[in-house]
This record gives sequence, C-alpha cells and structure tokens, in this order.
Amino acid sequence: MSIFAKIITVENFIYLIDCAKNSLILAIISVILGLFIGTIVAACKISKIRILRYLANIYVEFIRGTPMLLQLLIFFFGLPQLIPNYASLSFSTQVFIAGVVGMSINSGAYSAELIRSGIQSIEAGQWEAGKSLGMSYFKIMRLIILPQAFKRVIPPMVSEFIVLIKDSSLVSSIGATELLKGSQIIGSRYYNYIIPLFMAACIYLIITLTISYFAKKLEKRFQIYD
Amino acid sequence: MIKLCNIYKQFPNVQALDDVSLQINEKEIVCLIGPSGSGKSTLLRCINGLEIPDKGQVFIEDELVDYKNEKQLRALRQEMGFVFQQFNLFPHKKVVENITLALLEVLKKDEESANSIALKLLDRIGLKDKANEYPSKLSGGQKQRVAIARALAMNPKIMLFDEPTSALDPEMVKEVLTVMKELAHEGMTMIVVTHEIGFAKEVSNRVIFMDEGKIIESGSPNVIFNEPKHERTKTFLSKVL
Ligand SMILES: Nc1ncnc2c1ncn2[C@@H]1O[C@H](COP(=O)(O)OP(=O)(O)OP(=O)(O)O)[C@@H](O)[C@H]1O
Ligand SMILES: [Mg+2]
Repeated sequence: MSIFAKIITVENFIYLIDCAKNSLILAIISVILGLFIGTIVAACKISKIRILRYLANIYVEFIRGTPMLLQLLIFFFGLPQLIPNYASLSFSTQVFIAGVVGMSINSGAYSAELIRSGIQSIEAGQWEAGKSLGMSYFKIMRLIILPQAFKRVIPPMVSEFIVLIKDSSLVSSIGATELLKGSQIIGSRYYNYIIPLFMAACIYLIITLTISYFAKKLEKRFQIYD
Repeated sequence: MIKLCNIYKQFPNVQALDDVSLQINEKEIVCLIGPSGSGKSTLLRCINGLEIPDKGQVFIEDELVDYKNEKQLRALRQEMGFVFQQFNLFPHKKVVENITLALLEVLKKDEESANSIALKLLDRIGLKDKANEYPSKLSGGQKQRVAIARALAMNPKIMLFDEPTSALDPEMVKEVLTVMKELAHEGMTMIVVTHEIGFAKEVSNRVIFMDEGKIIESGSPNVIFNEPKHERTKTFLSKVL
C-alpha cells in the first residue's frame, strides 16, 4: 500500500475535521467578541473625552505592534495568576479560555480600526440630518451611522475572520489541538508530516474559500440600497 | 419668532458671520442671497445649532438658545425643519422609513400613525408609489422632495432651506420649487438660502443680501432686485440676474 493510501484515509480526515472544528470555534467566538470590543473601542477612539481616546490608542497600538503569539502566551501564563481557581480547570479548558481571550483581544484592536474608519467614512451630512430631526448622539450613532458603517466594514471584517481562522493555529503553541496540531499528530503517527500538512491545508482552504463565497453573497444582499 | 442679536462666527481662516442681527416673524418667507462664502449657510446652521456662534444671542420664540444645552437644542430642532443642499437622506432606509424614523424614535409615535403621516406626505409630494424604494432609486428632485417631507413630518413651525435646488439638474428644480411654493402658500415660516431669483421674487416677503459675513441690505424683493442701494448688491445681482 502506498504511503498516500495509508495516510489519506477517511478516519484521518474525520480526525482532522474534528480538529478543524476547534479552529473554527476559536475563530468564530473571537471574531464576535472582537467585533463587540472593536465597536466600543472605536467609539472611544472618536469620543470627545481625551482619556478614552488615549486608552483606546494605547490598546490598539500595543496589540498591533506585538506578535499575536506573544499575546497568547501572556494570557496563557497570566490568566492563572489573575483568576482564582483557574489552575483547577482542565488543561484543555485553560488553553481554550486563554486562546479565546487572546484572540478576541487581538481581533478587537484590528476591528476597532476597521469600525472607526467605517464610522468616519459616513458623510457628515448623515449626522446633520439626524441632528436636524432632533435625534440624540446615541440614536444617530445606533440608527443611522453604525448600520451604514457596518455595511462598509463587512468586507474587511470577513478578511479579519479569515485571518483569525488561520491565526488560530497559533493557539496550538500553547497546547490546543486545532487543525494544524491535528495534522502534526497524524504526521508523528506515520513518520510523514508533509502529507498530513497538505491535508490540513486543504481543509483550511475549503473553510476560507467557503467563507469568502458566502461573504460575497452577504455583501450583495446588503447592496440593495446602493 | 426668531431673533438673532449680534452673531459672530469665526472659522480658522475666515470670519463667516460678522455681527449679524436679524429678526424673522411668523409666516414670513425670507430669502437669503449672496456670493459663495458670504456666510449664508453658516447663518442658517447657527439657527438650528449645527454651528455654534462664537458670540451673540439667538432667540427662538423668545427663548434664548443655550448651545451647551443638548436637550434644549434637540427640542428646538424638532420644531425646525432643515433641508440640505445634498438631501442627506438615509440611504439604508426606505423612503417611507426615512420619514418615519424620527416620528418613531423622537416623537415616539406608534408605527401605524407614523406610517400614515409619512404616506400622507408622500402623497402630497406625489411620491406615494416610491414609498418602499430606497433613496438610491430616486432622482435628485425626488430625493429633495422626500427630504422636505421628512422635515415636514415633524410638524415644524419653521422650515430652513440651504440651497435646496443647487445640487439638482435644471429640469428637476421646478418640482422642488413647486413643493416649496405650496408650503409658502399654506403659511409656513421659511428661511431659504437660494440662487433662484425667480423664486425669491415670486414667493418671498423679504430678501436679505449677505456678503463677507455681514448683512449688506434687506428689503422687499421689489426693492432689492429693482432698486438696490448698495454697490455690492448691484454687482452681485448683475452677475446672477
Ligand atoms: N466648517 C468650516 N470650517 C472652516 N471654514 C468654514 C466652515 N464652514 C464654512 N467655512 C467658511 O466660512 C465662510 C462662510 O461659509 P458659508 O458656507 O456660510 O458660505 P455660503 O454663503 O453658504 O456659501 P455657498 O454659497 O458657497 O454655500 C466660507 O469662507 C467658508 O469657507
Ligand atoms: Mg452654503
């Protein structure tokens, strides 16, 4: 039996897909939390209160200026000291929480920049129209500015999501068994790493291309009004 | 109904308003004319707080406007319709939703009465069949009529227009002016920044000519257009007439 037939089996694929689930879960939770953090940080960045702008800038610059792997390690080693009883959680839960927290906070910084530029790309006339109708700052923001800004931010947010799926592989270095790690586990079983790595690459590609495809459809649906 | 006392407004490189005083009475239709950069928009925007004067006082129905008081400003703006040169419709809302948004969110009307107000207004401006379109599907003239309807929905006591026809193709100017004339005939108080001399002649009670942040002269359209006193007014009119 050739080495290909030995490694490229249904069981191994199922194992890898199982691992890919972890990558996806990490990325999905992080992109949602990141969007949430990003919106709040973006609001701080454009706020009139200087201290909020200042803090938001420090956060964004710190995250964007340091490696994500380093950030993950900080949370992996830092969370047990920060949270009582963290060490009593199972190892995989510890890794998962550190991974989600690290990735969300990382994604929050990038999303904040995207959302901020989205908000600021909305014409001043939209604010003025809202004001002239007697609406408050928050109403204008929520009902007029953010819906339009989010629409403009969809394409870069999808790219951010795809980056997160790929970057979730970094969580393997603090001990998570996600897609990349899974392929290495298979590799060590057969003393052949190249073939499982290519299998993982296929799965990454299937995921990312599918997301791009549906993102394009989503964008089209939002385009009804322009 | 509106009184401005010695208003000054400075922008980084220019004195946009330079000691402007003005009174507008109920049911008056005042046209503001003047060259580009003379401060017409700034004056209009100070009235509803889109700009804050550096100095001077604005009274609206005898109430002094405190520009630091957001709540008062919001209350005042509800009573003043503002129509922009660039329409500023909400592109993500359908035509009818553009009109109902503030009815629901600011005046807290229920869905049903907001819709009925919106549809009545759309009917009045002849755009009922566009109620469920997005603004991007409308022509410029139609957009501006919707913008006027959106402002009217709040049942304002006064309407402020900042060059409502300047962004329109010539063939669409008339439909917008027609709506404005109807409003005028119904007794709406209006301040209109415009280059439409024909409209000013036909509809307004008073024309105010501004230049370099100052009111140079004001009077009935007949006086301003036929026997202007000031050299600057004459020069300006010779260019636009
Ligand atoms: N936000 C601003 N920042 C800086 N300068 C401004 C601002 N708004 C207006 N100005 C300046 O103030 C002056 C008066 O502007 P304003 O818009 O009131 O003129 P206008 O009479 O409406 O002109 P137009 O006919 O071109 O609309 C102009 O010189 C303009 O460049
Ligand atoms: Mg202007």
